[in-house]
Amino acid sequence: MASRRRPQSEFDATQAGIGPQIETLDSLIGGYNGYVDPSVLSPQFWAACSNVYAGQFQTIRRARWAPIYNYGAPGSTPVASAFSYNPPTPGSAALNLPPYIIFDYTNSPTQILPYTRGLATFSPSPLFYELNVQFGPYMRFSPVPAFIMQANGTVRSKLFANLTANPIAVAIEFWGIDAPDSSVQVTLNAGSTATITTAVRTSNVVLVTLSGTRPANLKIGAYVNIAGVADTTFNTAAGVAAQVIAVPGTTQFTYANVGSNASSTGGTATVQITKTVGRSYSWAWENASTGHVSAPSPASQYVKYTNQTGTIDCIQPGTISVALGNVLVSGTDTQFSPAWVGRRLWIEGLGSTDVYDIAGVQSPTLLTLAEPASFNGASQRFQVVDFQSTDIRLYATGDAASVYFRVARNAFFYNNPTLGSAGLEFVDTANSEPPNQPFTSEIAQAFNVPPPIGQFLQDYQGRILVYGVAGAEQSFFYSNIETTLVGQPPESFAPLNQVTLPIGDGSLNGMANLPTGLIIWSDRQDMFKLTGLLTDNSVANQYQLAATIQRLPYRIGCASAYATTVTSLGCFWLSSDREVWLFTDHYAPKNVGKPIQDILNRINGDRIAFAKMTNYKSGDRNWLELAVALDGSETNNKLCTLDLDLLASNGQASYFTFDMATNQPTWYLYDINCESVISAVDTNSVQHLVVGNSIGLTDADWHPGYYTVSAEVNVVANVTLHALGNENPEVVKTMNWLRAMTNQLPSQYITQVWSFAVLTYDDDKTVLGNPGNTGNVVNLVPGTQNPTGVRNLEYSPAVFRLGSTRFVKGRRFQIQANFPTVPGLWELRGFQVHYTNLVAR
Amino acid sequence: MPPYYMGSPSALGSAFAGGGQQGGTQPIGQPSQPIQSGPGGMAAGAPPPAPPPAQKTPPNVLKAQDVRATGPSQGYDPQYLQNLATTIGGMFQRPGVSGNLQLNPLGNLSTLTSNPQGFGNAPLPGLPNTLLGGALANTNNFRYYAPATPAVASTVPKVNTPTPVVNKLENP
Repeated sequence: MASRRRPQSEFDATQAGIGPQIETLDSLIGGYNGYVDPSVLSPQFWAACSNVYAGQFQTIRRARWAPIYNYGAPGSTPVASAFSYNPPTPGSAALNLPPYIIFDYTNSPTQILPYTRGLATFSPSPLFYELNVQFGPYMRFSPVPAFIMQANGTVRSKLFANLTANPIAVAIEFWGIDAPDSSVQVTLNAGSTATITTAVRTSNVVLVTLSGTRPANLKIGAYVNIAGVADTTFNTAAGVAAQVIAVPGTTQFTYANVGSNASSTGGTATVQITKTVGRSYSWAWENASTGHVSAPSPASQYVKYTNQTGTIDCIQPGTISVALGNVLVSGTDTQFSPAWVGRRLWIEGLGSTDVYDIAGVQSPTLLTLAEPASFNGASQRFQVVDFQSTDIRLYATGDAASVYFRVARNAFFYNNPTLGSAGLEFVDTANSEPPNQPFTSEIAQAFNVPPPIGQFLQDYQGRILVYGVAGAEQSFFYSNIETTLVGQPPESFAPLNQVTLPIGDGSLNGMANLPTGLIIWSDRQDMFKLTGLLTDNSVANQYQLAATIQRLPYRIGCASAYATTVTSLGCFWLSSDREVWLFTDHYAPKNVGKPIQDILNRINGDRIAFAKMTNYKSGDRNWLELAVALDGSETNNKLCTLDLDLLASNGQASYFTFDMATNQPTWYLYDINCESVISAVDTNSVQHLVVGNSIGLTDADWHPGYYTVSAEVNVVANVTLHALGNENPEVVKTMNWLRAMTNQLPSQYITQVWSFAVLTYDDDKTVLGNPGNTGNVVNLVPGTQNPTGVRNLEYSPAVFRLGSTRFVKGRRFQIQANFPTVPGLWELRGFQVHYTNLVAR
Repeated sequence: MPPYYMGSPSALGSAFAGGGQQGGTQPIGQPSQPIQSGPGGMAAGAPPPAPPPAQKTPPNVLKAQDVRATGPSQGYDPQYLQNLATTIGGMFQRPGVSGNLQLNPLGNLSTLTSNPQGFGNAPLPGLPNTLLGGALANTNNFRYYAPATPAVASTVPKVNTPTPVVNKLENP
């Protein structure tokens, strides 16, 4: 039986021979098969199994598990999702950062675990977050080393890693920055004009001496216009203003002016703006740490300056009042927005280290803080800020122009009490026009709009796709590339970057990125393929025409967006009708889950949306892992493993077509709590099969030398082979002896606690596969049903002589092995069976 | 009249129009309620501090104006709707004397315009009036002419004088 395939000839010509028969059962690696009539299968396939696996190494091995993080007592909420994150080692510092596992519970904050082989101790630290909405399961994607975008359907957030710190500093921030929702306040102030006495240019810097005291607004940083100086090279051209560099005396100032050294007299210096139609302002938040800039605020009205300067305050309309010890904030002329929940309130005059997060908004004039106010304040000006903001960018137009160029940038200090010291105030003195200073070439980033809150993520063509949005369950939204010139494209979703699929009242419920296109499923029976280039959409440029979506002619949906994965063979997914499919995009989808269909049929319908799938590829393993909740379980408790190497080597070439009776996809079944399952990398670039459950994280394919926080755990494992004798059930057989072959010395069978059994079936009395009917069970316990000692070529605990009181007679025999439960590498290699065909009847 | 407009119909398109002392606004009644969300309702503890009466805006001050999302959320989160509203409405003129604009970002842009309707309720095509359009028409730009006084450098209005700050206007 070198081949795991059962020869067809066995079915065509039964062995009718009478007398002694010796059969060696090896290569028992067909995997579980609960689909085919058990009376036609051979012993290569398994009638039942728990916590064993096989492979091209041709043996059956017991699973080995070891904890890598212990959460607490069983019964706690399970780890609902996990993510393997392997930060690069920064070039600037040899920090040698370890890989991390980021994991989430269903009722407590995200935690991060450094997954370092050999690390003796570690302390997962909860990531601080104000809102109570950050629970798992999450779906994550890391577009760049420092970013991990994440979605859970209740909050849009990202993990931002400071790669220069060791241990790594990971902060949770909102994904994208909300655009400021109010325009600036502009206060017009009278300009000033001063008479110039002398102007002396030395080394391209002009020192101006005025006839009187320098006006108050003519100070360092102000923009001044020079006119009427006798030497006209000192004058500023129309639309150009010069910035004051220094004020060496009470009547003096300097500005840059390129030219030969010279001196002149006369003229005026003015600090004031005059516009024909007006200048409009807009502003944006910036996170200098991530390099992201928000979309701009609403524009201000055009300000028609008439010899004035402007003080630009980035504040909300109205004023607020707070009372010491009170969480309520009342407003006057305010428009409190529910969009502010989770953001931070800056209050003029506060000036302390207190942090005022907004917990709720009751009305346009009443909101609630997360913590009581620590001071009394009445009629205070205020602003609402995303706590990730570090800077403010101010934009302005030219006179009667429509393009907003950046003209200034202030650092933002939340804990400073005044508009000026907090960075919320600018002074515009520049009577200039683009492209002259202070106008830069940077325009406001109107398309840097954060994504909507969704449940699921997908990467495609360098973009992040968000779907599972409650307001648009038939749509996906995708991030920018072309329209974000300043800022982070993965944090920006142009409002028209949205694609809606014709799935009626269904929902998008799964995606897989194949080389030939993006496969998209609904939760019903819809399957699409997106090809072509996704491009940013705007009203002016609807490039989206480059992409095409076609409905595929297969009525297959997806049960869980978490239960799709792309492997070297193609993409696999758990369909909405509880089947496991493989799609290569070269052939029609193939149902590769038939051997375990009886298991899949037991999936708890309430929990099927949380089934998880991943591809675990490590060493000689190339497995597809599917975690499902069976029967009444509220968490995933069955880990189904599809051996992809065997799948690739045994199917009809390229078609993955199986007759199921002689060849099938090879599945193994683990009875392990596995609400989440991932493939996680460690320091040595070794992938691990990590499952998350109520006790923490477990390496479900542990090997000696792998990282663990405590000892390898005991595992109860067994396998029951499909029946020997199916090829000639008309023949009654008497089993004479059976030898169990493992990777252990037979003399150790007793202490290691191996045990075996033969289940005999007589078609006149018992039926294979009949629930509750296990035939006649003959237990074979080493040292009990056979000698404890070993005598060469005579007897050993591995050989069971049958007959007499251990009478094994029937038409079909199922052989069962129970593995040792203690830690170790336990391998079942096969059986030798001697039986006698008595007579056909 | 779309439900999200504030103030009287006659205020539409006329706010900030004309020359002279423009930009000052008076508080009016509360607008229609925007979408509400967030944990909990009224927080426990003492009642909120009584808001002081609104103050009249000085004539040299262009108030901050906001754009708010309104209308049914249809399942979207408030932040996304607000961001859409900001993006969509940020460049348009704000109706009403308060200078605030409330719009349904999932609705029809034609509801923003104060242009006359077609037959029945059918809107006429075209975009709403933009801030730039209003400025070019010289009807919606903000301006302030100080009362005629001797031309001295110290005619800064005495109201709401800004706090001195370090000007960070940048060189190009």
